[in-house]
Parts: sequence; structure tokens; C-alpha cells
Amino acid sequence: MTGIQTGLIAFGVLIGLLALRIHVGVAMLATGIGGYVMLIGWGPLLAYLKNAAYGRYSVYDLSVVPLFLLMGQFALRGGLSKGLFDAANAFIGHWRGGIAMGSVGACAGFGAICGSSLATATTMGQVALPELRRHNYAPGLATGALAAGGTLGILIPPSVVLVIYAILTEQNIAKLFLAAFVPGVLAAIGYMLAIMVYVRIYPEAGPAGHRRTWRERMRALGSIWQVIAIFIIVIGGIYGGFFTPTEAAAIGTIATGAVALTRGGLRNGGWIACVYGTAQATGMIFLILLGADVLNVFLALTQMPAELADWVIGSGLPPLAVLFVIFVILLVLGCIMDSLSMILLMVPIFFPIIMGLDFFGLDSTEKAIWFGIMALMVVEIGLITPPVGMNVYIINGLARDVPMGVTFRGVIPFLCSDAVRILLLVFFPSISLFMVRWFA
Amino acid sequence: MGEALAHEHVRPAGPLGRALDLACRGFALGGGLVLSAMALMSVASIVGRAAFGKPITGDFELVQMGCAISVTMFLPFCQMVRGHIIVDFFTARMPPRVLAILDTAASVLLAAVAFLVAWRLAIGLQELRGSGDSSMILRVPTWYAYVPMVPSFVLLGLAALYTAFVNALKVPA
Amino acid sequence: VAATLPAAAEQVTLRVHHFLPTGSTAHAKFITPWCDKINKESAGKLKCQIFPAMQLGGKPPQLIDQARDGIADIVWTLPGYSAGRFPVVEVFELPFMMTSAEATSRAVWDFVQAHDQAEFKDVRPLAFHVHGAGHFFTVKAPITSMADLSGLKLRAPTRLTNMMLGSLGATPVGMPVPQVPEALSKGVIDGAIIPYEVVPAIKVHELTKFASEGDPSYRGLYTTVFVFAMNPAKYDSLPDDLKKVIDANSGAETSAWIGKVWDEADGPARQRLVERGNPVNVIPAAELDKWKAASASVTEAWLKDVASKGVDGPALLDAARTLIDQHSK
Ligand code: NA
Ligand code: NA
Repeated sequence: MTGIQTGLIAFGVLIGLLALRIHVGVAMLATGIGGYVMLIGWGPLLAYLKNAAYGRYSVYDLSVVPLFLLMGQFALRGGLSKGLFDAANAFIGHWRGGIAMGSVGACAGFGAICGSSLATATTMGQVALPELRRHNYAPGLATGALAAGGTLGILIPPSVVLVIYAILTEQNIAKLFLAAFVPGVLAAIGYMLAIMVYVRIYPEAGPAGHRRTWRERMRALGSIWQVIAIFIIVIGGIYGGFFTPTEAAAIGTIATGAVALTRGGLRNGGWIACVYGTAQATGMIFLILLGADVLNVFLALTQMPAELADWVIGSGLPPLAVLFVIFVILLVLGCIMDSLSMILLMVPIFFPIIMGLDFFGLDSTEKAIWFGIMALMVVEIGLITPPVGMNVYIINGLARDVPMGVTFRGVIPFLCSDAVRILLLVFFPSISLFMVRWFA
Repeated sequence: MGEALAHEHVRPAGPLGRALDLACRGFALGGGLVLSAMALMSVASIVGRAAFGKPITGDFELVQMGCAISVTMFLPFCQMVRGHIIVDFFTARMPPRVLAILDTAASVLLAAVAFLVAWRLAIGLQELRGSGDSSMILRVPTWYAYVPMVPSFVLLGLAALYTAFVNALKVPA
Repeated sequence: VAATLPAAAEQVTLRVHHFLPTGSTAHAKFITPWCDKINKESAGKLKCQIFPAMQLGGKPPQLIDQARDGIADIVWTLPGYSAGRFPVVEVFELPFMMTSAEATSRAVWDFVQAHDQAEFKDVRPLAFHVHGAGHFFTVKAPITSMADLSGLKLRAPTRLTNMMLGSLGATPVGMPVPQVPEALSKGVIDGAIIPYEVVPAIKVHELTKFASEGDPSYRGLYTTVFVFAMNPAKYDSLPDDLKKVIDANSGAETSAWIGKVWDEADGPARQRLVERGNPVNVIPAAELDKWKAASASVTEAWLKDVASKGVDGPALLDAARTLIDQHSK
């Protein structure tokens, strides 16, 4: 049996286990364990498990994951989302569709200090939904904008998914964050444009709010200085190379914790609630990480990733066609799986293929960064596509009177914006790469 | 993905469930303390390096160990609040009874895997203790990190057995 | 063609696991050629599956136990990663021990055979080797005297080099290799000590302006011991003819050959520095005498460390030095 055949069987088994509602991490672990034992036996497997968990979890760069998640919890408890929303609205709330656009802007701001989409969607949803409804925004536009806006939590660095990608592909986290910055801002602008076009077609969907005076605007801006300061310290520190991403996450966590503390967000068990929130999100990610580790070792033993890469390279298919096939696979998987599981499952297989192909003459580091940014965008689309779209579920949980179908339809303009952005990133790699080249 | 948010979680009833819930929360808070200490230590090291040219010796090693300890201590709590991800797309239209059976089996499998890992980790701990394996700069024995990890995986297994039990109770209904 | 190939049943596949990427000296110049050689000498019966970059899972410090447990059949790693487990062989990592990598590698092999088999009893060592001497690569000014080191933030690779830099007045910063380029470019550290061979891989020639090496008459500032080891049960399971092939490709000669590979990798890397116009400064022997005296505390600390384990440190230190001298002639 070839490596590719073994790998395909393993995928079949994995999908079968997932369909039976086995936890994603456990399904990967079980498939990996089964395959490992078949290939080299119980002895090596039992020996491997002695140190696998410590080996997987004691990685310096990985420690940014729980740190960024704790930082997001502090930002949530510190009420930073409300200040961001008010500030954005003070400037553009009086435009048609302006409050929805302000919500997207606030999501982008929150994403700049939070590494997770879930937290961004939850916290901004709580703040913005009541306001959007009060101003008679169409339910689909309100929930759609927030579900899509939530993805900015991960598209704008810092981003937990990018950290995992960096570790899987041995790339520099700082460079990936740098590369994600412009595409992330483009995503926010694209979502705002989508709202603009939408309210031009359906003017009653997004009524204008009232215009604020410049004095009110300045006051609103004043309340978000902490967010800006934290963002500059964290991301500026990483970009400037003053400290490593882990150190930046530590500083950001302490700074955000201090803001939450001074605003009273850590009172009445606030710190404990932050730890519980972090524990849940971290536990979820790290169980999958352990499963993916065992599964990937098994796949390496089958030699499937290498064989597949050789086969694709030998087939003479145009590189861009291969890239689009990969995107389609990720999009289809994204309909039913979460982004992190997909990255952990597919990157070890697709990455060697991409690295073996020529795209616009990019060198290997640039190719890895460029592909990483696009893969991030494609898997994050899964958060808002039916049937399983985590962000849609979260926003719908907050707006219980809006049918799920209405929210999924409300997301369509934002999906169009996503498609345009990804095409731009494919054909103009320098959008992702110019900041990296500029800083290098 | 059947991913509940922590605040939606209803605390378990019955003495057994409450005791397990308490233990899981205790471990999560322990992990939170380690994580917070790690963040403070990193900040102290950066300040020391930037201001006085004296970083904390072995800060990288401490972060590695702290990361392993804190994330492992988070695992049981995540299961207690049903935070570990499942794909519920394929079974969306199944009757509740079938779902209860599947979820019982899934939790039992999670428990089995957790106990397997805990057992192997315990063996690994003994071996590392015997061999004197330690970190490069500070010479902190590696097995120290395994000490909280073994009970964390045991507790993850117990939490999974408990959720299996709760799911099994739903089967006859 | 089919007739000349051995039947599948006779073929033995060896899983070879290491931590560096395929472009590294270790993968391209040592492990791959070694595998090709045993394949040829066994008439195709021995075949390697090389897994670079920790593809079989775990972290580099776990490699040695992977060879013990049969997770991999052969590993290449640093005993120093598992600090505290191989204190005796650490003698070769003391300041001012090594000469050429070739001679020192041969000495390490002989030393372990004669004095240090207990530390490696869980695996079957195929070869030991060291890299070429480590040198200083600095951003702001060359190192010509101990005064130049005062307060300088330098990245050190191991526990002993941390101690050594401290004893010379520098501020050692322990960080993983992948962080070094970023840290250098942004002034988090003022320089690093590494062998020439590593320079191109992490672009140190582009990120620093000055190289400083010790006077060639003097022993190297520091080096690091590597081990190439096999799972003992796997070796025992081989038929005699294949055992012979492995035997012929392990031991003192193989160790010396690997050391030579590292010596030879230093030359082109040094050349790239020279071509970039980075001055290569030489620290005079008279100055190094002072360094040696200042860093004696490191050797004392090592002696104390092994004494606590019931090892006759002074005798082993002497034996290691004698072996290096013997093979350096
Ligand atoms: Na973010
Ligand atoms: Na989806």
C-alpha cells in the first residue's frame, strides 16, 4: 500500500469518527494511535506517549496562545468593547449603514488586542446588537455584520490561528503578524464597503444615526486610548523586534489586566471568570493539538505528505490551479469544521505541496508567509458559512428573535467581500509581503 | 461544533458531580495562577534586560515548563463545561436518544484516551526522575512539570466518565 | 533490474530521526551520505527513512530516549539538551578544550569507550562528534580583550557557555536559536557565540559586523558534543552481515569523518563573512591566557558537579585533554 492510500484510509476513519460525535482531538488521537500501531507497533507507541504531551505543550512559541486568550478575557471584562463601539459611532454613525460600519470598525479594534474570533464576536455582539436594533437596522444586516466582523478578531493580528500555522511550518510569528496586518485592515475596509453597497440597494436596512459634534468625538476617542496604547506596545513591540511574540503577549496580558483592574472588571470574581474563560478556550485548542500531533506523526510515517507533494509536482498542474483546489477543499471542510482543527489537519499535508511549486518566483519564506495569510482567510470564512458557522451561532444566540436563516443570508455580502479580498491576495502577493520586506 | 460558552454552563447536581466540578475548577485556577505568574516573570525579565542588562536567567525554560503545566491543568475544566469540540453536522437530524448514546460513547472514549495518556505520563515521570533529565540553564528537573500533568489527565478522564454518566441517563428518555 | 534487488524480506528499513531541516549540514552532508554508504555497502539491504525536523514527534531533548525506546532506530542529537544526564561527556564542552573538530571528535569517541560507557548504556552509540570552535559575532565592535565583553549581551547556547560568558564579564542571554536573528537585528542582544557553520543558516553574517576568533595556536573557545546513536534491540535484530556494515560505519573513524565534515563546513561560511567585508578579528594568545584564567571557575564548577556524582573529575579532565592532544598531532 502506498503512503497516499494509507493516508486516504486514515482520513476516512477520521471523518467516520467525527461523524459519530467523537471529540475532534480524541478522533485525531484515536486515528493516529491506530495507524501508528499498525505501522510500527504498540511498543514504540506506548513509549512515544510517555513524553508526547509534555513535548507538545512545552513549546516556547505556543505559550502565546493561552496568554493571548487571557488577554482577550481581560479586554472583555475591562469593558474595552463599549469604548471602541462608541468611538467608531461618534465618527461614522450618522452615515447610512454607519452604525453597522462602526460595529465592524470596533470589531477590528477589538481584534487588535484579542487573538480569537469567538471572543470578538461575543463581546462586540453584546455591545453592538442592542444599538443596531434600537436604530431599526434590518435584522439580517445587524447580525450578518457582527458575525463577519467577529472574524476580524483572528484576521487582524494577534491571531491564535497564525501562531499555530507558524509553529507547524517553522515560520517566524513576528513576520506572519506583520504580513497579516494589511490584509486584516483590508478585510475591515471590505466589510464596510459591503455594508455601503448593501444600504445603497436597500436604503431602509441601515438608517443613519445622529451626527455627533467634534467635542463628543474627541471625548469618545479619549476613552479608547488604552486600546491604542496596548496595541502599540504589543504589535509595535513585536514588529519593532523589541521583544518576542511571547514576551509581547505577556506584556499585553499584564497591561490589559491592569486596565480591567482599574475599571473594576476584576472585582466580584472577575479574575476567576477570566481564568475560566481562558481555561475553556485553551483546553479546547490543546486537546486538538495533542491529537493532531499523534495524527501527524502517523502521517509522516506513511510518507503520505511527501508522496502527495511529489505527485502534485510531477503532475504538471498549473500552480494556481493547485492553490484553488486547496482553497476549495478548505472551504468545504470549513462548512463543518472549525478553523483550528482544519489548520492542524490540513497544513502538514498542503504545505509541502505549496512549497514545491513556483508562485510568481517567491522565495520559500515569502511563499510560506503568503500562503499562511491566505489559508487563514479561507479557513476563517468557515466561521460564517452554513451549516456550521460558529460566529453566526454566537450572534444568533444573542439575537434570539432573528431566525438563523436570516443571519446566514445577512452574511452573503460579507462573503462576496471575502472572495474579492482573497483573489487580490492571490494575484498580488506583495499586499501580504510588502510590510515584511520593508521591515526586514 | 457543540461548543457551549462557559457562562451557559449549568453546574452539576449531586455530590459526585459537585465534587468533580470543584476539582476541575480548582485545577483551572491553578493553571490560571501558573499562567499569570509566567506573564509576570516574562515582563520582569524584559524590564531587567532593557533597564539593567540583566534578564532573568533561564526565563525561556520557565515559560516552556509553565506553558505545559498551565494548559494541561485547563483540560479537565474544559470537559466539565463540555468545551471540547465535536462536529455535530452529520447528526443534526438524529433523535435525542441516538445522540445521547453517541455522546456517552464519545465521552467514554475520551476518558479511555485520558487515562492512557495519564498512565504513560506517570511512567515517563518515573523514568525522567531516574535519569536526572533537567533543563539546560537552570537545571530544573524535567519531571517536576509532569507532577501536575499526571493528575490533570486523570481528572480529565474522571470528568469525561462523569459526562458519559450524565449522557447515559438521557438514553431511556 | 529486479533480479539484482534483494527480496523485500531481507531488506531492513531504519527510521533515522533528527531535529534540523533538510538543508542543514547534518542532514545533507552527514546523515544522507552515511545512509547512502550503508545502503551501498549492504547491497541495498539496509535502507534509511530519514525524518528531519522532528517529524516523528517530540522535542529535540527527547531524541535520545526515542532511540532507547525504539520510536526511532537511529537518532542524531546533543547530549547537552538533556542537561544533568550526561555530565561526564560535558568535559569536552569546557572552555578551551577543543582543537580541530576532526581530532576532538575522535577523542570523544575514544574517551567514551574508555571512561564513559555508563552514561550511554541505554543506546548503542554509532559515533560522537563536535562542531568547529565557537566564535564571537558582534554588532557594534569587535572583541579584542576581556574589557570589550564587559556588560555585552551575548546569546549563549549551553549552560557551560552561559557560565563562561558570565565569568568573562558578559551578560549571557539564553534563547533558542530561531530567536537569534530577530534579537540581533533589533538590538535585544549585542552578539552571539556560535561556530562558523551555523552563521549562514541564521544569517548572522548579515546581522553582525564583526567576527572575533581566538589565535589559531590556541584551543577553541567552546564546542558542543553530538551523538549519533542506535536502538540496541534494532542492532541486535540485524543479521550478521548487516551488523558488519553498521560496525564498519561507526566508531572512531566515522566520528573523525563527521568532525571533518563540520571542519570543512566552517571554511565556506567564514569565506562569506570575508566576502561581505566583515573584519575577522583575531584575539591574541596572550589575551586568551587571561581568559583561560578567568574562566577556570567554569571548569571548577564542572569538577564539583561530577564529584557529587562520585566521578573522578580531575582524572577524566586529564584523560580528555590527553586524547585531544594525541589525535591533534
Ligand atoms: Na486579533
Ligand atoms: Na462553516
